[in-house]
Amino acid sequence: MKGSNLSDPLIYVLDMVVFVGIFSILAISLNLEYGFTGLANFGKVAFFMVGAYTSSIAANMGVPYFVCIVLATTLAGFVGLLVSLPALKLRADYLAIVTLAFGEILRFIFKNESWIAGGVRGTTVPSAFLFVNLPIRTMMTVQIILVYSVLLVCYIVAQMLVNSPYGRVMRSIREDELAAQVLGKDVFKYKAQTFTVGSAMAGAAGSLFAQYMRFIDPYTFEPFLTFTVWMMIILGGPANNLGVIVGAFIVQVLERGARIAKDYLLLPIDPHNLRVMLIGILIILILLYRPQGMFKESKVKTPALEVAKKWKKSS
Amino acid sequence: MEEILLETRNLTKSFGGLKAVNNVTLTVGKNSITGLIGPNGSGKTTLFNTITGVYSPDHGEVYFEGKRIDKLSPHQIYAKGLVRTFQTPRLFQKLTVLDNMMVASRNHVGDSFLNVFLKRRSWGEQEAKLAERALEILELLELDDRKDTPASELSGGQMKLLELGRALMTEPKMMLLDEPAAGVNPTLARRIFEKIRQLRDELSLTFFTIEHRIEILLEHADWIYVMHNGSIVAEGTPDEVVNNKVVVDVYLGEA
Repeated sequence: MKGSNLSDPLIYVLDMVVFVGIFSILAISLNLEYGFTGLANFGKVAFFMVGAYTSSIAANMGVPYFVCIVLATTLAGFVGLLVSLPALKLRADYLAIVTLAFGEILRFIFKNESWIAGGVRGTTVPSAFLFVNLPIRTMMTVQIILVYSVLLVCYIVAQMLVNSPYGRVMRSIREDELAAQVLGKDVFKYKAQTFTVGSAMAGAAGSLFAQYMRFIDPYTFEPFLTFTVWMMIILGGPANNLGVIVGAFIVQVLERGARIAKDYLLLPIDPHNLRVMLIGILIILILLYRPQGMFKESKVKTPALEVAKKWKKSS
Repeated sequence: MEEILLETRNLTKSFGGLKAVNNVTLTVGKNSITGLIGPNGSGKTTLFNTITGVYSPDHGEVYFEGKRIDKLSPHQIYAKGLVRTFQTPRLFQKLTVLDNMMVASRNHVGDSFLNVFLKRRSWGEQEAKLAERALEILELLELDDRKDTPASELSGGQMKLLELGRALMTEPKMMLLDEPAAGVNPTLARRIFEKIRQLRDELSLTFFTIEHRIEILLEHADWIYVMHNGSIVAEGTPDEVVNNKVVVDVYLGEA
């Protein structure tokens, strides 16, 4: 193998790229739920966790990785649907509490039930590419291709969804639920579907995460992970899929950058603490001066826009 | 009266000890403009909310086209062709005027999750047609030049008009309008009612309207119900209502 882990700075960069990709998927999924539909999901990590554990358990049983990620996505989506059925009947703020609690409950189950996946000791995840002995850089490049292919699929699905009559209804539910109902929209159905899709995407991200880390334990899935995704949405701009990817990039660059700084620079302050401060300041500044985020809400792009454009010219 | 479109029987809705709607029995004739007046707090909006499924009634029944609708949820009542507007417009603030209209489309193929991906062609074509229709309604309401503006940036009167337009977009059989002319200047208020009348005549719609501008309502309504403390205290043609002693007492006695 060429080059060891710590002495090769490029590894840090590639690592950052992988994390940006995984978290972009999470950001897009939360954006569908919160940014477009107004569902305050504070339990994003739960569905990420379901995906990661499903994928790990399956991989340990010898299931090929492609099947693992499909399983993880499906199961996380299904769990999302189950949670949404009672939770979505509640008012927005209670939804936040229920989803937050769900994440914690799930984490404690994985922590205490060691028969599932090693409990506090965690579990190793066999690599999908173990059959070839690749140098570490190549290995990471393969991971990057994998992560960004899934990200691309999620992005396209999300874009198709929000730029459609369906996406318009999602936004209308966020703006005024009762008005949407009176205009004939089965609000509960839309919310449950959005929640399911969002959770499924988070599950896919979890599967990619487990595959990349090759080891997971319950301590990886603290509620803070959910808040990290929220920061990406707030920074990037809710209801803008490109915006939240930029948000994911900024937050992850700061997060991963702090690790590099810790290993390479001598600073009077622990870079990890500095990072938390920086993100805090950034969010306060954004909320004060640009509450809509760096990117504005995207328009609903459908054939109706073109019809409207022509209308102006003719009259 | 002719054919009945909407009917309530002994409809009652209480909040704690207050009977906001008390034993209300009324009918709205097909293709009519029926008015509902009464002092503030007399239960008019609660009655509307109970009819449209926002509240479920404690007692009594609601019939639309002869079928019971009081157990249905708002979106199911909409499906029957009954749509309502709100006293304070409930627009989708961040969406453009056109998008506000488009949300209201009936039976849009692209409103269903799978169809978004599987029937792109078909909803795309429908979308273009619906946009034409939406723009025509906006033109009628003189809102078409504001089609790309977010709803939050409209003036109060324009918001009222947009809500009316949105309700029209749903191709309803009947509209319940909660003070369509409130907070609108007198000229516009008259114009709104002229539009309502025009829609009734051209599209044979039925209107049930709460309105405080009684003088305008009297000009256009066929039949008027007067509500006080949750009950219907009088009904009749505009002339009858104006000369009804109970009505005069209810209004002038309290003012």
